[in-house]
Amino acid sequence: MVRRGITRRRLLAAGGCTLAASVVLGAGRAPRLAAIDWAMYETAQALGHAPVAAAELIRLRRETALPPAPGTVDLGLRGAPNLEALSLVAPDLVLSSNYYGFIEAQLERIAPVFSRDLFIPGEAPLPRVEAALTALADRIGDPAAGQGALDTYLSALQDLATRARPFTDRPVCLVQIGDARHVQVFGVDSLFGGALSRLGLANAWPEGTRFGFNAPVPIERLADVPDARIVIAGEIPLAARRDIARGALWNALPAVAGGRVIQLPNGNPFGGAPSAQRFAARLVAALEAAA
Amino acid sequence: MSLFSLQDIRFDVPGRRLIDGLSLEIAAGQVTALIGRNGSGKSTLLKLITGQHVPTSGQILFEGSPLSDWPRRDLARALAYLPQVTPPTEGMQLDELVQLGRYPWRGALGRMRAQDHARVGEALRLCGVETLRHRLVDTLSGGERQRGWIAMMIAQDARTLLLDEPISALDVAHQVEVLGLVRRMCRERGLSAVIVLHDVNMAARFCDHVVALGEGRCLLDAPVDALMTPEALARIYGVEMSVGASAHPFALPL
Amino acid sequence: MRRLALWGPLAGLLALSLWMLAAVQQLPLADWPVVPYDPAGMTLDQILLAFGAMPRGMVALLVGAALGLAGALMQAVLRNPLADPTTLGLQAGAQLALVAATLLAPGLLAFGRGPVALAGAALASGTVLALAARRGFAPVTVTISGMLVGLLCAAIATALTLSRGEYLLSLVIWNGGALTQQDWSGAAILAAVLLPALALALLMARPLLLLSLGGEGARALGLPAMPLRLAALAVAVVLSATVAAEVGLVGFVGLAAPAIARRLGARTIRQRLLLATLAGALLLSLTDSALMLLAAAGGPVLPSGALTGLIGGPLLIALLPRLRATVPPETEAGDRPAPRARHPRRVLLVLAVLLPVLSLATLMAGRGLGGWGLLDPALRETFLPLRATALLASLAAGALLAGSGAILQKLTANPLAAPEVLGVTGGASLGYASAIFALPSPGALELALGAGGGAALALLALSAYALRAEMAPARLLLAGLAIGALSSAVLAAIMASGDMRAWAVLGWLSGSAARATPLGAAALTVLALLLAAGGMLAGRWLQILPLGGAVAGALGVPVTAVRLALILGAGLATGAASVLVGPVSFIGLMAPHIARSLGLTRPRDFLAGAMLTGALLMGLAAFGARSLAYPYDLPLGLFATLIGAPWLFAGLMRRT
Repeated sequence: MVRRGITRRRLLAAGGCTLAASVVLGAGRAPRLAAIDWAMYETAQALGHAPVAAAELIRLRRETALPPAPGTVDLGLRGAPNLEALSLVAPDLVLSSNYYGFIEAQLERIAPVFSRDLFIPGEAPLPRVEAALTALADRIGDPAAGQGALDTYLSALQDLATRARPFTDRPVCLVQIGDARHVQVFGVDSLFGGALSRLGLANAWPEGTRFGFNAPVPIERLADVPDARIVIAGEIPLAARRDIARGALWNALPAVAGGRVIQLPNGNPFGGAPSAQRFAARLVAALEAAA
Repeated sequence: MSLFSLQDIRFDVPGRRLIDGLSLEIAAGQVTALIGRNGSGKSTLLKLITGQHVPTSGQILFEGSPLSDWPRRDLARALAYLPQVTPPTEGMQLDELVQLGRYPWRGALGRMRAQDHARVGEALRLCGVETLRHRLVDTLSGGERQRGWIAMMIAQDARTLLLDEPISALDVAHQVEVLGLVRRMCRERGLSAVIVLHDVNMAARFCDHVVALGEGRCLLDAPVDALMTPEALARIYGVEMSVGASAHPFALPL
Repeated sequence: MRRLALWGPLAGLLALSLWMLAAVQQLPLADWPVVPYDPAGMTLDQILLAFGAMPRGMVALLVGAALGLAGALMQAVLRNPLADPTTLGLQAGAQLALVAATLLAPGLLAFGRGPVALAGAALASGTVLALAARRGFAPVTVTISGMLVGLLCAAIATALTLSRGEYLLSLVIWNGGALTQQDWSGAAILAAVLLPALALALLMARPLLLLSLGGEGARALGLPAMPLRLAALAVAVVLSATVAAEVGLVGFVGLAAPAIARRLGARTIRQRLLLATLAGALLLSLTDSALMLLAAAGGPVLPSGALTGLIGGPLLIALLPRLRATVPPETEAGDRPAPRARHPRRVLLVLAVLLPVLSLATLMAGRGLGGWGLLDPALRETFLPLRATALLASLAAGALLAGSGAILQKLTANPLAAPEVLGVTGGASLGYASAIFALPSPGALELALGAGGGAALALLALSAYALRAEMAPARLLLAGLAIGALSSAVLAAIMASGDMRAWAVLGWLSGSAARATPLGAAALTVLALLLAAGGMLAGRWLQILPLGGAVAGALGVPVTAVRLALILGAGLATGAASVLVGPVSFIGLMAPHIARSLGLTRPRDFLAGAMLTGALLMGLAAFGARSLAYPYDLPLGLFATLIGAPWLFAGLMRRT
């Protein structure tokens, strides 16, 4: 598993070469990719180049649209990846994003880093993760895989959009339940929000995404969008289920009273194009089932 | 030359005047008692002449020079002060406490020389706490601790000792012991002392001179004999007292 | 008390009108529903008012009252103006219980998190009380035990979370004291706890007054001190645990309300209990209504609990100068004098030998993909530089924090003083956060400068204040806590904003040795050596200063200048170290305590011992943090707590 004899110096030299042009990284074999960022991980998976290592593998397995191959190495936390584990993996390229800009210098000490700005407040991330498909494919010297993956993805979304057309009568409010009194809301500047507009559905939430470490939006704000369908993108935390079911306010919300609540399983809101596609498919299926 | 010379001193805190136009001469080579009722300003006066408080108006001369002109180090070599409540000395041995008295002479970095150790040893011996030198100060009895602190003042080699109610927490035997020690130091080594006291009999027994304050003003400034009259005591404490005499004069409330 | 007659109704009126203003914005008065409220017959707006804004206003009052009462009770019992509901480690205990339940037995949470949180809080405070009982509930012991139990719970909760690969759960699990309601159940529970608690507290007021004469004085008057203290603390525990379970963390009210009560002239315990209850209720109500108005005006939605610090912090600072000089936690019969090593040099030598031994062990041994083992010779070239950088940085940071804590403890003659307590690390956090938010892509140097600058600013504020207040130790601690609360409130707001940059702040908050660069490690080492040298030179000052300003001044020490210099030195050391380990290590509190329990009492021995202990602790912590949950790096600061706390417990448990 560990390739002996690989030294930082050689890797850095290799990195220097690849900066000049998109030279094939692995010198005739598939490049060894290590993913810190989950969107980048999914992007690589979609290209058919499964990363040999990824950060926060335990949760990633549960949430990603494209499960990691057996034997994938866990790199530890995304925000504080284990540099020793990363060196042991001896990657040809580390996949990161603007989230982890503050540790990029440390990553560079081990291998060249491929990083893109993906999630930026107020900007739609979907075009960016789509563009990452071809950019990464070019970077690892397999442009054909990039175009192929993008085409497959776009045509799948096209089909889903057709199926979603009967449901364009109402806007959709995308939420995750934090606790019995608070929700997170996905705006147009979120991955799922982007998938929503690709489906031709209107996002009922007028503001940007409020998606932080805690659930910042009080449940009563959902009364501001009375016409919408409420889509709960992820399971309701156990602790909140009982209180949600009983709550006078929740039950009085027009969408709840009118039976317009749709529940989806957990997804990866910070994933790549595959997560957007899986979300779209699940949403359309749930809408059809509810109709 | 007077030890202290106070010229029309006023000292105000927000809303109150603690010292009100006090002029006073305190002579050198004597044990001076500072007495008065609670709140009469005696502790404040002591803090003024140590330089801890700066008078709102007026001037204080110490050994002929304005107190504020004294360099900090020189003042500490000349004046030693014992607070009313001695602070806890976590983990400190008695000899370490007494060594602190050498700070004005050696500063933060200067090495302790043989001469300094000699002074410390002498101070411990003079105060009769030599055998306690390796004990933790916090484990000493009240009288032992007070004598230890006085030993620190002796080690400081200051010509003037200022003590704020040094006997208020002690039993009679220890009171006599501590005041006797201060008096002996002044007699034998030519030191001066100013002591804030509550007990008029102790003041009469151990002091040479007395300054009595009332509401920030001077009520009495005289040799100690003048204190022990029913009239003077009534003026100072507002209580009728009778004065008797055995070996020394004593006063009892009526 | 005359001031109260004026300000009390005024504040009450202000709180009510603020709430009304917010409520009327939601629904005009004419449309308000009539009692009894029945959701079936009401419009949505009416439901929002009757089941949202109304219970929320009530909950704000009840939570504030509960915390104010709990704080007043604790301060009366512990005779410590710094005591408040967080002092007993309640909130951390509740959080640990919630995390453990979520990960290990999620079924428990199906009945709501209240019972689980309550059990955790009770367990934590029970531990604190058990520790404190062995030492006769001496104020210092209780406070230290409480802080330690809190730290330990937080560390275990985080370690548990991370070892399961759940990085964010521990932070998501609680909303930072958001008071939003969607029915009356929360208000009902809080009222059901508060009212009997208030009655009990008032019954205990007179005995507590006797207790305030001191344990021995109370006993002489025929009062069983221990059961009374226990009963009063138990009431406070139930109050704060209920708050923790219902709305999460609400900072500072428990500290600020009793201070306000004292400021308003409450003298007897009874007056203080009542006034603190009222003050707490109004304080939180005002905060929450203001935040509702802010949100209604299109401003950000902020959690009220965390933001009470924004109001409470400055308020406390404003109150401090007028607060009657409070006695620092004094030694009671239960606190034996510190032991004194017969051969301090030998103790220091052992510590100094342990340091390279530990370093070598952690450099060579560790955990890799294949499990535990010694470093493969073939990997040395890659790994040793990484490990050495991290190790050196950890040792230096540990020494810096410990040295800073040792200096501050000597300076204030207060064993609770520590950089973490004095708000220095809070300032550093704010500086770090501002660097992240102000600069497009800050590098390591900018971030270090940001944190250092924040620490220095916090210190300057503290020094400016301290000079004015003549550095009374207890006031210095209160001011430090106020600064800390202020900065944690701002940080909470940043986290709640949901901005992506909060990730970087979060990463820093947990601390990581792996993030150190060789240059940073070298700089930290140089700083640690400078601090050690400076501390040795200042040894005589450190011996004199604990005796107080009067004695030190009479000995000729330039008190103000020396204090300022020491404060600034300690602050810079803290700022530099917290760039690496994050703001929550408490090494600065623990290492000096351990040094003291080793019998190192003379200032130079104490400082050297504390710095060596700090380095050892942090070195061990860095090793454990990178190995225990491999490949997940545990937060360095929290791991240091995990190692140091049991040692301190052992020290506390040892009887006289």
